Amino acid sequence: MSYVKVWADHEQLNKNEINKLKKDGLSIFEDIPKYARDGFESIPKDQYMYFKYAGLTVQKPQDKGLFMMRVKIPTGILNAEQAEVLAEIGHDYGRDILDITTRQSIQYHWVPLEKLPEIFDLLKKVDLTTSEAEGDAPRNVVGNPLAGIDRDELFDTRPTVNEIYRFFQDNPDFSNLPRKYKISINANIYNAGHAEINDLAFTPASKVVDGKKVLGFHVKVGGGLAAKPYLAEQLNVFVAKDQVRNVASAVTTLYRDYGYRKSRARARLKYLVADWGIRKFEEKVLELTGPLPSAGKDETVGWNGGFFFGAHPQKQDGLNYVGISVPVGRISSGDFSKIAGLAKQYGSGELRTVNSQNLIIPNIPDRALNDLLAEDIFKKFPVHPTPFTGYAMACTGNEFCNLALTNTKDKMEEIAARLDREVDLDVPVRIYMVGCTNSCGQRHIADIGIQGLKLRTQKGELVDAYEIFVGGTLTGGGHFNERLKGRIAASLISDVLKDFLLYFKKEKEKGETFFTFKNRLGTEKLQTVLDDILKAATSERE
Amino acid sequence: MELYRLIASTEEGEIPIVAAAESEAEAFRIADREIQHHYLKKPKITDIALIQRKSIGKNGAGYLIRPRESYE
Ligand code: SF4
Repeated sequence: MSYVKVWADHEQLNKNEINKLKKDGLSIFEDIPKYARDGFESIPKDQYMYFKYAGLTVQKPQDKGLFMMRVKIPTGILNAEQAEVLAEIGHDYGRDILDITTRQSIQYHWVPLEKLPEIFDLLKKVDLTTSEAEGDAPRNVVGNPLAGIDRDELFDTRPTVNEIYRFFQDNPDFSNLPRKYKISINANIYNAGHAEINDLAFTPASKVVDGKKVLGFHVKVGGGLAAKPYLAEQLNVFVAKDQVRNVASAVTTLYRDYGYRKSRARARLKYLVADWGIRKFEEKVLELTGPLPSAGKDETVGWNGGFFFGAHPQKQDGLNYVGISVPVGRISSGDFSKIAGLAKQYGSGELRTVNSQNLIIPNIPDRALNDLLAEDIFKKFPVHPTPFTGYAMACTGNEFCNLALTNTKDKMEEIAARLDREVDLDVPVRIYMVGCTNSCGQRHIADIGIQGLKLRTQKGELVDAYEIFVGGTLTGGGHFNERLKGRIAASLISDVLKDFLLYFKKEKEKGETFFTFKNRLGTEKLQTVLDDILKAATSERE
Repeated sequence: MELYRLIASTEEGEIPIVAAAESEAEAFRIADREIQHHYLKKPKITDIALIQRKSIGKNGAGYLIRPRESYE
């Protein structure tokens, strides 16, 4: 161990912290083969938390010996072999289902304990890992899914992502952080890395140094959603590419040594940043990094929501990428394997995962593009998805999450399909659904967020219901969506949203986005619109 | 046992309620009971919503009750 745990003698450490001092999270990998041999009953309950560091969560019901398992994919780039192994794992160990997550990772369910050693071997052979995909450690490094091939990137971030991923991965100096820790590295000028909702984000920037324009990054710290959302704030520094590791190490060291370990509810970096203020945080960073130039020119020009559908030319002449819609991120291993096969047949074999829970096949030569697009699989996973299904996202929901109050993925798909049939718009509307107030599915930054709850109606029935939130974005530094009053029973939600969006269609200007529309009309006006729709919908039912 | 956070909507505004219960249905029953106990003249309740659940572990569980922010 090359550092001193300065918090070790703090008086009020939470229980997890006391455990983590006794045993480092990463040591779970030494125990798993034994548990896999001896069965689920051999695992003491107090060891469950350590499985997180291996990217594993005990799945409910907790006595079946099944796990949710997450595999990291830095900036979403997979080679052909890796994609094939991920499909194989889904088929052999994960009941045929893969979920693409909002951090570009792949997540499985129902993974049996006794198979974990085999799975780890398979992953290791292709340089993939589940390690620190969960737990109080650096999570998957997210970034531009088009890194290296993007006409809208300031420069290729693949080397930087790789450097930072390798630096932190399984590094014992950073495996005991106060809480989860999310890094984003992106140089796409449309904020493909969702900078503001990460603990540490590197965003595209330039600066004139000694008369020469240098490309590099600006840095944002302390973002995160969940129940207490916070948008990351910018440090007044310009970071050249060769300084990224230095800065990432400094920020993470500050978090490790000063982040709060008394209550897990206040342990994310955002609480430390909020308490210190951004200027003090910056001073502390500079104490560790040494002097850095002040911020230069911000090169971010907008936000694309992380959507890259359709076929588009790459920055390499003659090559194209194809963005594919995977509704709510769920795909069978057979279909994943087919898409990986097409990537090999028509492209370089590379496949990319997107934080909007979709896929990209890169490196398709011009001459092969039409043949690829004519493949049958794109009837199921379209490259030009219908606008609602293509732009919908959902968290795990009550299928696997103990905190969920409602279903999410099925319900979201059902609503989106209905809206696609009945509402024809000239702009996409991003609708994200979550099953509780924790908002894992990035509900806060959706055009329309839908949050699940249980409702008892006036007639005394207990039903699934939802609240809606309007006007979220990461454009211009970000804005969280705002709740409209009124709880909408599951049986009414698609009717209500349909009418709400038909109102948007009727009143909007040509090309106007939902976010601009909401700002033009104001939340109060939209509230009266919803009130009227709800009144009409309820009286129709009565 | 879980700790549930509920909100009763009335014409005068929202009433936060917390209930420790074994099930969602029971949480609603507890909410009813507490409303009955509390008011001399019961307000007109338009609906009751359960918006959060937490399991009550060895260290207990709790909610901080305050008006919700617009993004919550
Ligand atoms: S938002 Fe709630 S229901 Fe959805 S995955 Fe997160 S904790 Fe579970």
